[in-house]
Amino acid sequence: MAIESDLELMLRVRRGDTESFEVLLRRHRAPLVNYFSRMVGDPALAEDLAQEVFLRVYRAREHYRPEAAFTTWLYRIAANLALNAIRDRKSRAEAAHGPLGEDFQEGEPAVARLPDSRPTVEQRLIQADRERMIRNAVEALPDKQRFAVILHKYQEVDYRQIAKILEVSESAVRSLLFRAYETLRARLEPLLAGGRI
Amino acid sequence: MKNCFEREQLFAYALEMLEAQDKLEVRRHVAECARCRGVLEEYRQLDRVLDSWQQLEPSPWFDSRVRSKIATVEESLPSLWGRALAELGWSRWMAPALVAMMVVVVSAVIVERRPGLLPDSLTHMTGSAKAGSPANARSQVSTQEMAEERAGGAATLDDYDMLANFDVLLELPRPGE
Repeated sequence: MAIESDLELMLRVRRGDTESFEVLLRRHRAPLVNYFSRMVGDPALAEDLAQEVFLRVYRAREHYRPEAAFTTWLYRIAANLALNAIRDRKSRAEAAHGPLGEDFQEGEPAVARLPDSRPTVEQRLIQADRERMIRNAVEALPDKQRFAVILHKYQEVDYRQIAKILEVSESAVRSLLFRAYETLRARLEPLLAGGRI
Repeated sequence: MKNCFEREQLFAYALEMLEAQDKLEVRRHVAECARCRGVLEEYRQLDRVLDSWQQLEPSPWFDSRVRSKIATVEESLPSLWGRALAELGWSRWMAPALVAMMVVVVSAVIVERRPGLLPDSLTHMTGSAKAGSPANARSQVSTQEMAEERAGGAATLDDYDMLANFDVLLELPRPGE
């Protein structure tokens, strides 16, 4: 049986086919949860936001127009939700602790990991430390750079599509990614040079 | 080596964001330039480091929560009739229609209570139809009074100068003041 494209499935959802919606849900739930987890740093909030994306997709099904790739539309919804969540979190933190700078970071969220081949305690600590450094470095990037890095690196979204999602030019996306990688290279220097990879 | 590429160009090459022709030029240069190969290796190394940020698995109840949220929203939607009306765009034409209907009803009530507002021809028709009854006598008297009022009113309306200075006339001292 041929794998149906997201667009075909969504057109069926528009006609009221709930089974096609289930296929889209299964196909995109993990990437979306990961996207939000990396954007907002809180697995529980990431799940809520990913669920909200699917809810919005379902509610907007009758108005869906296949003008762009389905994932562009999906991640545009996700990007708006993520941006609102980040702003809300910053506002709440500022209300509680006063203004926060660019390097604002929240407490480290508990990261649920995929089951692995039972690493030793030491290996787990090293891995946790490395992830903490990466997460902190990515979270400290300006919003648009962070969006671009997460979409490109972790969601494997093409830079042309990222341009549509973020509503900027393709050259702007290349520039955003370049500046982000330069910053990350400096911040993750210990991991690059220290041989802890 | 001369003619080295900018870091941004090398970065775009490393992340496969260059068009075919540009990609070819960078590839040819990098094959001969150790410095540019070193820059490329830095970006590839960083990319590998970023890979170690592991993925999350959605919780087992993720799908059921989505379905539950959808069910809640569906329940809160208007009834079938409400949705059908909404699809017809009733609010676009129903509101003006209701206003027009109210105007007609109010006008009918006013005309009914003040028969003199009807044209004379209509009044005579009404009068001849109800001749002889006490109510009709009252109606004829009131019709006559209204006709006189209208005649006087028309004469007054003709005097535009007086209307223009109406406020001034009100301010004039009354006799005996």
